[in-house]
Amino acid sequence: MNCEQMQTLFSPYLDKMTNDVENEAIAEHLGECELCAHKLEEMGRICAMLKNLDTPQLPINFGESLHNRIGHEKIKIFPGSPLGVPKRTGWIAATVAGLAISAGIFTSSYLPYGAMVASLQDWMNKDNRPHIAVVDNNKILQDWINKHTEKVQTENGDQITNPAGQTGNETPGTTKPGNNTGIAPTITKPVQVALQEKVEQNYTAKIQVDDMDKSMQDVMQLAYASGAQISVKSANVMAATTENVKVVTMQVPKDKASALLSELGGVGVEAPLQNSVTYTEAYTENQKALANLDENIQKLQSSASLSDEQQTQLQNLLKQKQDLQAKQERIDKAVDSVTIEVRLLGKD
Amino acid sequence: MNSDQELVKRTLHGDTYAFEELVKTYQNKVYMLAYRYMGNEDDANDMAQEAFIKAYRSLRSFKGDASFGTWIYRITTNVCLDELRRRKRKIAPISLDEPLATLDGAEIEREISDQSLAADVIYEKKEFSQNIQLLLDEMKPEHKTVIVLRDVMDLSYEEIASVLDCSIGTVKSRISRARIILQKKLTERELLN
Repeated sequence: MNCEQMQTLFSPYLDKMTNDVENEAIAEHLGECELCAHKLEEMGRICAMLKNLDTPQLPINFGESLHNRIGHEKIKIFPGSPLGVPKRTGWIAATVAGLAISAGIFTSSYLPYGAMVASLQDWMNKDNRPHIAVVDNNKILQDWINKHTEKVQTENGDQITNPAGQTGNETPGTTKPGNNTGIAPTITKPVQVALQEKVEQNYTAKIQVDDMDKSMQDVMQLAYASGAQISVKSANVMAATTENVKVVTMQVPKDKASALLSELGGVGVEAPLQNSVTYTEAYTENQKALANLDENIQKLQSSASLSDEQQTQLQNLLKQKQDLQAKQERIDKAVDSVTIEVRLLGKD
Repeated sequence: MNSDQELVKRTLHGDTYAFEELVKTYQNKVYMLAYRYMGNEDDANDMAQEAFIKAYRSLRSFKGDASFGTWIYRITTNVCLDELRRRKRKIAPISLDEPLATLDGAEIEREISDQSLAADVIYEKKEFSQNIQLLLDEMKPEHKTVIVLRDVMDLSYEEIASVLDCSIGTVKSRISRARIILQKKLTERELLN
């Protein structure tokens, strides 16, 4: 290796970047070549001086100037704050808000807005609302018991199941599945034999209920739907028991009575629906007079021969009978409503 | 994650103060590097600032494979060498013997100062530094670069290879060549005794 080749190793040799073989070759060469030894020493001195060159101080305003420039660059590079990913609390808040909104929507679908609106309309038209009266409970109940006792016993004491209904074309109340009371109601309509003779028609129904308010609401809704005039009576103490009772009395148009009775069966009727006919005094007298007339007419007609006086009497009796029958028809026609009493029996 | 990488991460999230912390750490060396490349304080100031601004703009491309120091030295080197190349293209060669034309049409002879360095100031640090700087400016950029990075900045061969994006072998041979050239220049100008 000549001197020129050897001198190319001086630089890495000074930086300790030569291997052992190179180091040995350099050492051997330096022992023989004084010029190369001088060159190596000179190069080492130059490197040392380069490390200690005098460098001017950083300008005082360097940092400030750079700060201003970076500020301008930031506007270009970061024109807006990037949208960060919400933290955990943000997600939790969003979830809670979503659940609250969902619950609100779900609940609102079940709120009785329709009933609220209907109540508001009723209040606005309160003059047209059915009259509801709360009266002395004990007195009403006692009257009802007395009346009930009277009504059940008709003149001839007969009670039969009415398969055809009482109002002609309308379908009578039939058995319907029980409601929440679990009682399958059996509605039996006892009717008086002499249908044509009734002047007032009354029905009574007992309903055993779990939820008095709900059942009362059901009954009232049915009554309103039938256009009934309603009165409500409450009783906390019944004569014989301690049952909580509410009595709803309805005056129902004759043509809607049967349908309403049928619907009430759906509410749940515990006792057989009882029917009774009340006779007015005038009607009773009219009936008696008619019976007497019939009796007298039959006597006269059964005679083999009648005198002229008897013939005249018979004609008069027949004419009186016609008048009484006409009067009875007028009374019957005057009856255009049916009274239904519904007794709701609470369990406690 | 070292502090430099953490500061880089914060800077990328818009924290300019984090970047200014990086600037404070490296500004002296960047300025010194720029000064050795450019040869004067004003240009060194401009290039050092330009290097930091360029680093700030392209911070997303910093992958953390090398240190931030190596990365900013590479940027500084490229900024300075680009500027030197740009200036070299713009400056038209002139003849030192051609007389200067004045505004009134008269011609005057050029007075060329003697750039040769006196031997009696070699070991005066300031003077020597100035003379070395003049010699460095005469060298090819590839030689000047490795001398500055190795002997002035005291970077290792691996770091220089990273800055220049070349192999260690290339660095080794390039440093060797540059030192021999510099030594020859100093000897020719009798700046060494």
